[in-house]
Amino acid sequence: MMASSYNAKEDDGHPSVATGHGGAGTVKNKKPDNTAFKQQRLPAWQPILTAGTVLPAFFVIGLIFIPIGIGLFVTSNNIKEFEIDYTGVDISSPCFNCSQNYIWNSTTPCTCTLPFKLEQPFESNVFMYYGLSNFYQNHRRYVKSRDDSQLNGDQTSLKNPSKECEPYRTSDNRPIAPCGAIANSLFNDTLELFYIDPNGSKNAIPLVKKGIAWWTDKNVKFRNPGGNDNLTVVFKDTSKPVNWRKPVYELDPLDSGNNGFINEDFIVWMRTAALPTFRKLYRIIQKKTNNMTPTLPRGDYILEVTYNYPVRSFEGRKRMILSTISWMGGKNPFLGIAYITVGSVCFFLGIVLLIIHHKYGNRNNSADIPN
Amino acid sequence: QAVLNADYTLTQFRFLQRLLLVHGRWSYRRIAFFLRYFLYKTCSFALVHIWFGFFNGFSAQSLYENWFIVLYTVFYTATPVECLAIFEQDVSAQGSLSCPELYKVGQRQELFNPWLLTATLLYAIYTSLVLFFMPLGVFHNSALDYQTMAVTINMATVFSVTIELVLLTRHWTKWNVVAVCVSLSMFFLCTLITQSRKLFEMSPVDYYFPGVAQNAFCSPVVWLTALLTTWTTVLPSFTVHALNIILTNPDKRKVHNTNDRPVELQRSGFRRGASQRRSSYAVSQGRGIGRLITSEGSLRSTVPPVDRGGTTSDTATLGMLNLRQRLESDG
Repeated sequence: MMASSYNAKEDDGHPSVATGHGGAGTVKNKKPDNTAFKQQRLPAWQPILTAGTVLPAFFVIGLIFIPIGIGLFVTSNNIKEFEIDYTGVDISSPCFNCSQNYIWNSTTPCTCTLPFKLEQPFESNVFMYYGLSNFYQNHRRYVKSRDDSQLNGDQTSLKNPSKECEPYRTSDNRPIAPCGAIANSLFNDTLELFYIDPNGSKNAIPLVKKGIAWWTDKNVKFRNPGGNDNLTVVFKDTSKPVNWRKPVYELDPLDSGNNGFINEDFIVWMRTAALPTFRKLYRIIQKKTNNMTPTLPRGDYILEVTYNYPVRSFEGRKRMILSTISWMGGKNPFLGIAYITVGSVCFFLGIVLLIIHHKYGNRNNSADIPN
Repeated sequence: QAVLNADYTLTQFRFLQRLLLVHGRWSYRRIAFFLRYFLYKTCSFALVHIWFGFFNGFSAQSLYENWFIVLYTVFYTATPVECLAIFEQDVSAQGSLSCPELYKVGQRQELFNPWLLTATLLYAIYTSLVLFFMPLGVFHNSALDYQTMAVTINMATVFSVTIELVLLTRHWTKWNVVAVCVSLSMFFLCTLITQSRKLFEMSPVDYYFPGVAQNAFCSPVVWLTALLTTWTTVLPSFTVHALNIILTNPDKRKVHNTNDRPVELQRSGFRRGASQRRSSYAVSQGRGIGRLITSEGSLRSTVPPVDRGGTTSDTATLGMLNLRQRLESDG
């Protein structure tokens, strides 16, 4: 190596400066050490990529993705889903009157009844969602408008909520609990399902309201200040959010494990959605204890809505969705189709590159080294 | 004084060969790749917010947790590209010396020019489009929430830029492998830590994504979406690399792997008997120097032939004087 055979002939007292490597050394000898790292001689693997190694990658990926896509698509198709819009936009819809005559402080709630029919029976656990459209839960000012300390049960934040909650921070000179725009816009429609027997009797379908929120949310993120008991006392000097009908300690007075901040409907709502069209878990219909009868058999059903939530003013829509789930969650044909598409594109590219390789790659074998 | 002011100082002319052909070439390649990759990885992760703006009322809502934004540039993607910038060699030192014409790649700006920068930026825009719209399709009208979508896109972004780096790196030392593995594991580790319950309980305002990573990393939909998005973003780059490999002359590639004896610079009229030169010749970076030094015309005409054992110091000074005159005349 040149560097090692160089004799440092100093001239005019100027030190010679070696370049390229970090010339860290003693004052006498500024040569970089003759180690593999500093002389850039580290053992390395330099893959020699040829067409034979690269082209199969396309086919392999294509052959992996397409079956995955088919599997996902088939799984998604086997998930049964039913959706019904109950905003009441059309004059013929049963909820039209409720959507029109809405007053915030109305004491008599407006109810509407929508009949529907299930063509296929729904097996196993059925999940009931409410869906909203054109509702921007991902708007920045909205997302910031919450106080996680207060929701975690911190006493100081209970009396003095964060500034981010403005303008839903105080009301009647008392702090609002829970503060913020997200809490204020809590979804408060009540949905009930009834099954119409073949002989005409109306059976209420039992809806389970626990187990709908994440475990970490219910047990870590949201805590009632001062424990789960005597919430009326704890929230004494606070006021309810402006657009709520009941204060937070009356969300579920019969069940102390579901009252106050740890009410699961409230928790589900506070977990903001990503996009303007979303759905949130509302209730679970558990499967029957004997596995013979489906959870929701074919037939006629009635959805009774206590219409409290106004969406017409911003062209929003409300829907109720019934869905079975699988290992991949709800019905999602997009993922399966996307996998199939990308796998096919990959496979097709592999074929195109193979053709190019055969036509043009072989011609270059006998050419000279270009200048 | 000239030594202290110069960017590079050589005491002997023969060092110029190695400096230019080996280190200069490697340095050009490394810097070009480093800059282009940095532009790519930063733009692709940031431009996602433009597309998200269309779906959040243009409210500038971030799609990522603050911790991800902070740690992305530092922990998740910095060390692999630093290793690329330190260790990357396309041809070995002997190969570079034996094929000096490879140096022309730098002179012709083949690795870093406005077209390539534009191409990198366009590729970053494409990556950001895929990084946003594929998860959008999956999360639209679904029960999954904003924070899960954030973690999904985080995963896809880190995977995409890491795979892009893997495609770029051709010289794999053990540090490169370690850097890639450590960066990926840092992503999972740091995400789990910043989204853990302990940190949330300590400061709910700073760590506002509690429990998301635990939920998301166990969800098959999140993984499948991230993998699909990653592969779709990497596909064009992979195709271009494959095309390069297929269409490049295989003989040219053999050049990279041979260890011929180094070419003597005597061919260009530069005598090698100048080892007793006394004065150090500082080459400061100026525009016309490269042209002058490498053009055979100037060397042949201004440097008289050197006798072995002759008064080399005089000829050296004469050579310097002539070069200086040429410089002044060129302006």
